[in-house]
Amino acid sequence: MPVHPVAPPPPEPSGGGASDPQRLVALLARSSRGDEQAFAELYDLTASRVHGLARRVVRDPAQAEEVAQEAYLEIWRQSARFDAARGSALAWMLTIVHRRAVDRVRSAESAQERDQRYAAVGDGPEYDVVDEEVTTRMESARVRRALDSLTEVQREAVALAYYGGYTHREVADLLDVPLGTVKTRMRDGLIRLRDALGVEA
Amino acid sequence: MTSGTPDVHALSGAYALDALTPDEARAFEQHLATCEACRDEVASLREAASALAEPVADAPPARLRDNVLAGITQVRPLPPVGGTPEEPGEPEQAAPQRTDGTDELAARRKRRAPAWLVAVAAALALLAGGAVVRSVQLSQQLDSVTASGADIAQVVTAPDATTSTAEVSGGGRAAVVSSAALGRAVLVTDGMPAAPAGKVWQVWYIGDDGGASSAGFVPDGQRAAVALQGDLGTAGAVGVTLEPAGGSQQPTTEPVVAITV
Repeated sequence: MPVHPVAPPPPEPSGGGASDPQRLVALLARSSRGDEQAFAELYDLTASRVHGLARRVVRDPAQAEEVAQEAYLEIWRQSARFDAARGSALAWMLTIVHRRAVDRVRSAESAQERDQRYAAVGDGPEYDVVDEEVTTRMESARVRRALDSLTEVQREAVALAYYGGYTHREVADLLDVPLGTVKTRMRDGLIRLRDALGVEA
Repeated sequence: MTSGTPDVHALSGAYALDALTPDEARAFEQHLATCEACRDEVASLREAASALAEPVADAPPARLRDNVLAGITQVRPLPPVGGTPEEPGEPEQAAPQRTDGTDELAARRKRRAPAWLVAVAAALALLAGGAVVRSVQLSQQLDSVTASGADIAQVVTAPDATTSTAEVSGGGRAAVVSSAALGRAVLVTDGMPAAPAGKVWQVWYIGDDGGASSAGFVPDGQRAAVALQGDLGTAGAVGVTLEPAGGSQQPTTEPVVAITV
């Protein structure tokens, strides 16, 4: 289902907050030296995204909190191993969160829960934005516009994997299409998203 | 991209979405190690995928901040890995770093305080508070375990695991999770004062006849967990005493806590 921005497209996100990539890099570097104050600031700049992503994937609020907490501890421990040459600090952090969230849903669920998860994800992402900083809202509108550039089937495959936590084989089964098709939709969908966002690796 | 032949490059999207199974992901990572084009592509696709977190951002409850900031005080960040940047989530390198002036025992204890330990302690604190923590959740929190962590996980997730808690005289709380079927037990402490210099907190299995056998030591840390050595056997209780560094053959002081199991 097409997704429409709720607000007029703002230009680029303003500086500050988690939209300031250099700030997050600096805070991660200080964290790696044991600076708890820096980590607290890092938390404040990213908690809505980290928690929201965990919540979106695992759904259960209590488990989402656990996943977010575990992810932050891992981020703290691994902070010295972040390499700015290989991507943004936020993407690195959210990768840790996402992996933990999908690990949680894949191993903890029964077939019934899995079906419910599909039912809840199947129509594509919900955009129940609750309470975030202004820059996040602007970013959010930008991402929604970028998602509009994907084809319906690309968006579906990407959403089932990223928000639903399904493997590509499960996505292929759910959509009843060949595995190769799903792989292609995921890759092409992300490439479109990347290009629409103007992401630089 | 419509070729029917297996094309490993085509997995970059699924990999960036964490949509591969662990085996598939490992195989693809081996490919990544030798394919710079794929590494670059995955990095850019991960960047794009992580933008998908924006529309679902959701402020967490305040307690998450408290828990996270309390948790990090228990865990030391790992040292950098020289020259080999890692993907997040890869198994960590063993990081045995000793601080000057500590004995081997203390150094060994220091190495044993990874994030899962804090998670175990937090989970058990919940247990002690009466909340229900399903074993599946607990085992989920133990997914990055060391050898000793695997022991702990085995005990706390045993179907017949039971938990008993008690106050520690002098401060803090301790819990014993035991599995009669496995004959093993785990001691978890929360808020126990650090042992004075030159001393250790030694753990004992206490038999019904009052005899004690050493079961290990309480690791350092505000919250700590240790898989007890030896067989639970017919021990009726687990006790902790203050002993000289290195430990004693038999308890030489009164227990600060004794927990019936």
